[in-house]
Amino acid sequence: MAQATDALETDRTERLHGSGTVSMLLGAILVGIGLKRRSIVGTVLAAVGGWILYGGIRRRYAGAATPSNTRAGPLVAERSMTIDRPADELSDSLTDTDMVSRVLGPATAVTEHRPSQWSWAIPTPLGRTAIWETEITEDKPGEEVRWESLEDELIHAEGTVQLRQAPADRGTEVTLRLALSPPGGALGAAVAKRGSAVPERFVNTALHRFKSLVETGEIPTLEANPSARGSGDLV
Amino acid sequence: MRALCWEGVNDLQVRSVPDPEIVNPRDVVLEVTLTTTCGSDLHIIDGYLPTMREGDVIGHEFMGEVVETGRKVEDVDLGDRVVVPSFIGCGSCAFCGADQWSLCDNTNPNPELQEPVLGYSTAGIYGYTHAFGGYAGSHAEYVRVPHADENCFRVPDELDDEQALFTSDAWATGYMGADFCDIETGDTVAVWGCGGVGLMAQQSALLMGAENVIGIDRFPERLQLARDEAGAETIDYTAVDSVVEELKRRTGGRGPDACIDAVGMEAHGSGTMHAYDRTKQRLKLHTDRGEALRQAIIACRKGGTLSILGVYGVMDKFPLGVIMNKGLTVRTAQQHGQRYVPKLLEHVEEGEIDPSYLATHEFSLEDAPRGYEMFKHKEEGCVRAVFTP
Repeated sequence: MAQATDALETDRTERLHGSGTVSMLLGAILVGIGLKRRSIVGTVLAAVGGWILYGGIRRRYAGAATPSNTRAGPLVAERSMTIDRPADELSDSLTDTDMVSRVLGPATAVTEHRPSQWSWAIPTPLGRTAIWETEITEDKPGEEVRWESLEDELIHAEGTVQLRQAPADRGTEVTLRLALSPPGGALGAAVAKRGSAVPERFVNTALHRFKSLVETGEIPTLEANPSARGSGDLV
Repeated sequence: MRALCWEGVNDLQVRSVPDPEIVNPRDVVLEVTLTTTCGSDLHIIDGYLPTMREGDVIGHEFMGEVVETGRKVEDVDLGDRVVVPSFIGCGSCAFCGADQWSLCDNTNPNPELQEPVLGYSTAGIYGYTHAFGGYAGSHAEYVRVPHADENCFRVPDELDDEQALFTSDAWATGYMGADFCDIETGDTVAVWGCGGVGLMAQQSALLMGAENVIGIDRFPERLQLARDEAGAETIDYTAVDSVVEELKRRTGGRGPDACIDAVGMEAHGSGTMHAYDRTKQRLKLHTDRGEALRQAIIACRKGGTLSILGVYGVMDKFPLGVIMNKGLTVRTAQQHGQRYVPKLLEHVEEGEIDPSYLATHEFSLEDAPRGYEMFKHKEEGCVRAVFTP
């Protein structure tokens, strides 16, 4: 966590520069790699790739679109899972940056830099760290948590977690809904169409990992898993 | 360490791979002392189940000595001699709480690979496909066991390794299959398959009070084991015109009260349906040769129980109408080993069943590919090849 925070400070101003063409190429590669990898990190890579790709497109075709007024329609994913824990306990976990960081995996760190405002430090190739900032907009313990990305973030996201008691002491029904709004009008829509699996995979994987973490205290993993390919089957 | 790896269809090689290590705090690492073949391994070796990757370490029925423990392991100590069920349970989810351990919600790291086909994911298992978790298997010098407190069972000192080994899977599976039958006084139980699981199902059914158990196979050595070791009657299906008619004849026309399928997706047979299955499977038009299961459905008495232990893919030509019209109860699962292992170890301690006769052939780990060849082709009466890493 300390390392991730340091990286956050040192890289805060590095917003992945370079020519539009290089950015487009790098972004497209990351989207491809991310979509092929069935993991949260893969999802994040794809999202970061899409972000860089968009930046490249925007620079390459400067003036064609602005993120604030020509967003494509949001990509929405929703999934429910019943978790064998009380709703209040789940609310606490959902607003705990350490728990959320563990759900996202070792590569991604989430920190609270202001009350209710979180920074998501996402590693990218070339040793850089991309920062994405969000704010908790609603926190009703035992019922609902809402958050959304800050206004100036290129990829706008809104997330909601709703909690409802399952029948007959079967735990809590947890519904995670994620809406991602890619920027860039028709270009953004085209990119978004290719990446429509990203939020669905993210929502499903995140819920599975969260459920395992709160029910057992750990997340199933193939880290360091031996095979003739080497050690570990993680990204 | 050395380990037996799947390198492609019908290509097993012993390779050097990294040692496992403690990853989560409830893990232990075992030094494997005995590990054995299972019929379900043949489905991945033969390439009928997807999501294997070259280099995967296989094997899921094993025992060993604890050589490393995670910091949150409470009930397992260094040096413990333990047997481990093949499916991994967390002990905390609703399914583990209901003793349905192979349905555990929290031990499969790859649920998204199963959900499109099954709707929901199962527990993880050692040494199998990545859809079933992708965990490194036990045909190796060492293996990592997650959630050790729930998955490691101490072997009583009085028991040999061979007596404990098969409680890991073959016996737990067979015992569960017999348990599913809710056996009552006077019941006849027919069991398709006289391999490790089938023999254990037969012996368990008798232990649970079945009046009569009938084992069905075609290999003389296995039929002999069914008679001599399991205490069953037998039918050589190649020596009768109709297994169904033969079962009716032996049950006064009623049919078996319960039928257990311990064969699975690579069934052999002698009729036109078997030829049909074999052709479609070779053409990759479906995954299963289901002759044994179809026979069991038709043979079972009205209102009887069908207990399915065989591993299947997504079979077509499944006679659901027969099940419905005869009012059969279908019970099936991957084995819930954690529910049964303590009871099985007690049965061995009390001298009621000694499953060590399943270990017909022993090999070093280096010779494991040869062991699988013998096991697959049932050479020299091989029921189970056991490896000593």
